[in-house]
Amino acid sequence: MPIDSHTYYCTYGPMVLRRCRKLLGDDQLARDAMHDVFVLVLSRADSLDDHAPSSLLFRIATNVCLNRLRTRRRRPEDGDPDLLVEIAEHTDPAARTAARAALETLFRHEPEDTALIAVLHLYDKMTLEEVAAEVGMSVSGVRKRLYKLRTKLHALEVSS
Amino acid sequence: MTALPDWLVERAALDEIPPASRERVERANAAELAARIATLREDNTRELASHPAAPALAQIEARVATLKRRRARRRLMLLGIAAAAAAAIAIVVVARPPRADAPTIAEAETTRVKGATRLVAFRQHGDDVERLEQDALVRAGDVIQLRYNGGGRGYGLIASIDGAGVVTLHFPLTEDGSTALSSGTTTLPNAYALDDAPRFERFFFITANEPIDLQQSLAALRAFARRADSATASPDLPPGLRQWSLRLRKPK
Repeated sequence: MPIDSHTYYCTYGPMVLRRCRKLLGDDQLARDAMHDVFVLVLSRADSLDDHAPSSLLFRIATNVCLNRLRTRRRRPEDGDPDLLVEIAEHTDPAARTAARAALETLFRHEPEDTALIAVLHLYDKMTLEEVAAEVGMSVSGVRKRLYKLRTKLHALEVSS
Repeated sequence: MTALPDWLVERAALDEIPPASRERVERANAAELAARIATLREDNTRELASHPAAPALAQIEARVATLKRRRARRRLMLLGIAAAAAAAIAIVVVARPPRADAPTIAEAETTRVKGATRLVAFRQHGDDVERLEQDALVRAGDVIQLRYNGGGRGYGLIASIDGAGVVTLHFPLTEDGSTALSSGTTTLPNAYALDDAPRFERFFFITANEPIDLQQSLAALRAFARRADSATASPDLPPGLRQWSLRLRKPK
């Protein structure tokens, strides 16, 4: 059944905007990202499952923002996105600076879904079960991805 | 009792709590959750009052329409044009002598893209093909075939920008594809039908010695495509990347 884009936007737009604002830390960037999210979603409107769209929108918004963070030029005035700082602290509180640098490397080279899983679990505080449901994987699959991420991060710290 | 994370309060406000989270919500402080939901709803109202949906949706739907046209064109390209191009080669080589003034694809094979890194475009004219030089005049509907040589660099991407500020990726075929280049001179498996975007179509061949972060390069190209001088300037790409461009002009 075709979705009513106006109703869809009014219902979920503010939630998507808040999500983008939280990850990007900038209102204008967040509004641009929100537009990207709705372009992606509405361009696939014919095949959308209208059951609980907030999960889909949340996931797409997260990926859009992660892509923007990946491509953001690392200027000093950009500061550190809270997202990376929080994940770094959760991953290795003792080596915050090294972990943050390593995470930036990982976020540039890891598959998109691994970065998404890391954000959902370490930043959004989703349980493994919630992450699994969110990304459509098994709990053990999610656990393996996080384990590999921690292992790579540790290896990067050791080599740096 | 720990507070619910923001994302879960958002789901609760939308009455879309995932089954895996129901127990967590049931354990939460109901009064605190209700207050946070009320705050979100007030924020929703303020946001939609200060930024009404209609103008934003008009922009979004215009971009959706462009994206759908692109997808339809790519589907057409994937389904039909490669086969048509292959058939044309066969017809040219086997059944029909080429015109004296236009090289066929078979002849163009001798115009190899060898040595230094290069990108060459050919236009298909019925059974014939024409090599397109810098600033060649092209029209909507022209079918363009690209050929590259990485010149010893192992990785690359090919994308075009047009006068409407739209970026189209030609190689790899998808944004999650590998940027590893074939060695030697390689013709892309699919031809490309130009649309009615105004002024120009500019192809970029970006190469590197290491795998290229496709998202990062595409983001740079997308930002560049929106600039007023995108027909003539060079995009600001990440370090380590080399770029070549071929610009084709559209009629005024």
